[in-house]
Amino acid sequence: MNLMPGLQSTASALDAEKLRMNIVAENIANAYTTKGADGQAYQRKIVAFESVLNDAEKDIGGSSTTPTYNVQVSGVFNDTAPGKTIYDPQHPDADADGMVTLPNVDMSREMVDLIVSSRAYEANLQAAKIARSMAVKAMTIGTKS
Amino acid sequence: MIDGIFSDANYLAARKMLDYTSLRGEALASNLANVEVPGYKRVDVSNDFESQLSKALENNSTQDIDSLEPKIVTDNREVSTRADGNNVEMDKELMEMNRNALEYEYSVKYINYNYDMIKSAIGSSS
Repeated sequence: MNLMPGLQSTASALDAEKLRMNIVAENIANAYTTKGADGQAYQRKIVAFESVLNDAEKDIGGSSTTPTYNVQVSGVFNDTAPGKTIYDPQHPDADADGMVTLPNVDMSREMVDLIVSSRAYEANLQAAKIARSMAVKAMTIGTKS
Repeated sequence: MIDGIFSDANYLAARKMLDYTSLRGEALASNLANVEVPGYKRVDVSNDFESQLSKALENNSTQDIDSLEPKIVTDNREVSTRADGNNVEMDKELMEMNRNALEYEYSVKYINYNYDMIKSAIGSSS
C-alpha cells in the first residue's frame, strides 16, 4: 500500500515527459546540422510512449488485479522523411551539384511538442502535490484536531 | 461505550471512503500519467461502489459496509474525442483529483471527530 496514491504512475510520467523534452531540445539544437556522426544530415528523433501495467501495488486491499498503468518510453526513433535540399555550392557539405541536404527538423512542430510535453509535466506535478496533501492528511488521523 | 462508536455505520463508512478515495487517487494518477499514450483508456473505481455504500448506509447494515471493496475498472463509457483513441481529458482528471483529495480530507476529519468524542468521554484533555 502506497502512502501517496498513484505516485508510481506520476513518477513514470514525469520521467517520460522529461526524456521527450530532452529529445525535442536535441532536435532543435541540431536543426541545421548538415553533417552528423554518420556523415549525413541530422535526422529528427521521435519519442514513442507506451502504457505498462503497474505491478508494484499488487497488495492493495487484496485485489491483485488493480489495473493502473505506468508510462514508459517504448523507443526513440529516427524520422526518415527526407530533409529539404537547398542550392549552396559554397557550403562545405554541398554535393557535386552544389546541393546541401538540411535536417528534416520542423521548428514549429518541435515547439508544439515542447509545449505539449511541458503541460503534461506540469499536470503530473500537480498530481504529485495532491497525492502529497492526501498523505499529510493521513498523518493527522488520531491527533488532536 | 467505545465499541459503540467504532462499530457505528457512519464511522465504518468513513473508513471505507478512505480506502475508496486512496484507490481512486491511484486510478486518476494513472490516467493523468498516460494522457499522451495513444489508445490508452482511462481507468476509474467502478461506480457501483458509491451506490452500494449509500444503500448499505440506508439499511444501517455494518456488515454490508464492511464487505464492500472498491475495485478499479476500465472506463469505456467516456467517449474518445481524440484521433489517437485516448479518452483521457487532462482538465477533467485534475478536477476529479482535487475532488477526490477533498473527499479524503473530509473522511479524515470525520474519523478524527469520532476519536475526539471518545477522548472527551474518557476525560483525557490531550
